[in-house]
Amino acid sequence: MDRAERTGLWVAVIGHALLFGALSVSLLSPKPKLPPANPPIAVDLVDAKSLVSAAPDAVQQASAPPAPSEAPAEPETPTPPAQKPDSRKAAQAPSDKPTPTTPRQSRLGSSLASQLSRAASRESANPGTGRGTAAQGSGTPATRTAAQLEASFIQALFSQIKRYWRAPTGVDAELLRTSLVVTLRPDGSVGSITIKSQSGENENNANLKALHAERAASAIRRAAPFALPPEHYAIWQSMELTFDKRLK
Amino acid sequence: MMPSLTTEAANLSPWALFLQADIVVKLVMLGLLAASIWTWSIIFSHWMKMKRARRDCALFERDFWKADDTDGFYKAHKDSPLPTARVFQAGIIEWRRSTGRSAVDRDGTRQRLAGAMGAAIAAEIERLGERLNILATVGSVAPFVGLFGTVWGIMRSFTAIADQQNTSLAVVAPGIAEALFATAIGLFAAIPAVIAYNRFGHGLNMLESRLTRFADGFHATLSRELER
Repeated sequence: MDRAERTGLWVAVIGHALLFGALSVSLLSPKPKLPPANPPIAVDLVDAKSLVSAAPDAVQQASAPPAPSEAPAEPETPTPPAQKPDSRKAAQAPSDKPTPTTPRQSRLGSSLASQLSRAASRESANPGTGRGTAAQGSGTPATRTAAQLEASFIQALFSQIKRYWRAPTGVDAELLRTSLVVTLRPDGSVGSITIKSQSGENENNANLKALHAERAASAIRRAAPFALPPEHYAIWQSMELTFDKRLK
Repeated sequence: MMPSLTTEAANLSPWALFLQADIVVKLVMLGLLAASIWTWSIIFSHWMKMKRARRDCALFERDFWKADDTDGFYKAHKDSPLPTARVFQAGIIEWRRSTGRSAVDRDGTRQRLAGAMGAAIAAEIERLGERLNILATVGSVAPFVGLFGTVWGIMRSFTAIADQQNTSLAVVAPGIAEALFATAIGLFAAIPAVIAYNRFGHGLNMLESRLTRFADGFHATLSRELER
């Protein structure tokens, strides 16, 4: 190794060390991002917001039933005497009236209806199901608004869950639908999650079924706690959420 | 989500990438770094040698064609390591051996002179270009070695996916970045090596033709001497 080679070796070693050091220390790493000037602001969707102002009085009537159990039955008791002239319940009357001619039977029917309306206000009631129509059939505007309110709560819940929901991918995975019953605590945290039903299963996506339910449950847990109006706790303490590929 | 938080951009510096890498990828990276250092030391030393050789050979030739006394000039440059001087020395030695005897075979002397000087040229070019084959080797092999490191690293990344049952980019990205770093080093070593090899090959050809021209001129001079 003569002088020229030794010089070349030293130049090469020093050059590599410098380049490596420069890359390691500063040049490669991008400039640190500035911290956001403002703290993050929670943004609510408009439809989730509007429901509070939309049904203020219905709330009181809907939340009333849990405390005094007779309260919803109250408007019904006058009904049996005024059974005949009552024209407002024309929709319900045809189904009820043909059989119940005696006041005793009609009272039983009305108490059943009130029970159902309470159950509907507690549980998640799909407006489309038979239970929902029974709640509507009881005639009080409060229960109908409670169902609307509940639909809005489900919407609000979904809007919060949406960013954590990642539907499993696979063949026919988009057909799967999982219904979960979620119990919420008054502070908005999740109590229990139970799988109510699953649909859309075929031989291609059978292996994704469990994953679908599991991801739905974990999305709910990760989105918790939910900031729902505490005065409506009776409505949102237990809700049924149906997960499909795109939450709606 | 945690891996994505810990994998800051600062962790993608070469040193961090090297530390994170698998032992095989580490070895590949070290080998390629050594190859790069070696390449550049050859480039610098060869560049300096060639520059000096070109300048000194030009001076030597100018002095030689100006000199009237060939024997005196030979004495002055008897031990010169210059390529041109070596060719000159080979010519003179052969000349003295051939003409030292009583009966001079002119044709044979011419052939021997040409052969001796040609051999001297070949030896000089060989000496100067002995390191160039290393450049050629590094230039052609380093990308493959880097690619090997990359393939190995990506294989490891996929194994990590399989282990964690998680295809999120945060799991895959560091492994792939470190793997690609191996290819980057391979190319970093190979590109200068290939450029330098072509460049120096051209320089050596130029020097060889210059030595051949000088040898032809010297051969012509000696041939004229033979005819006296």
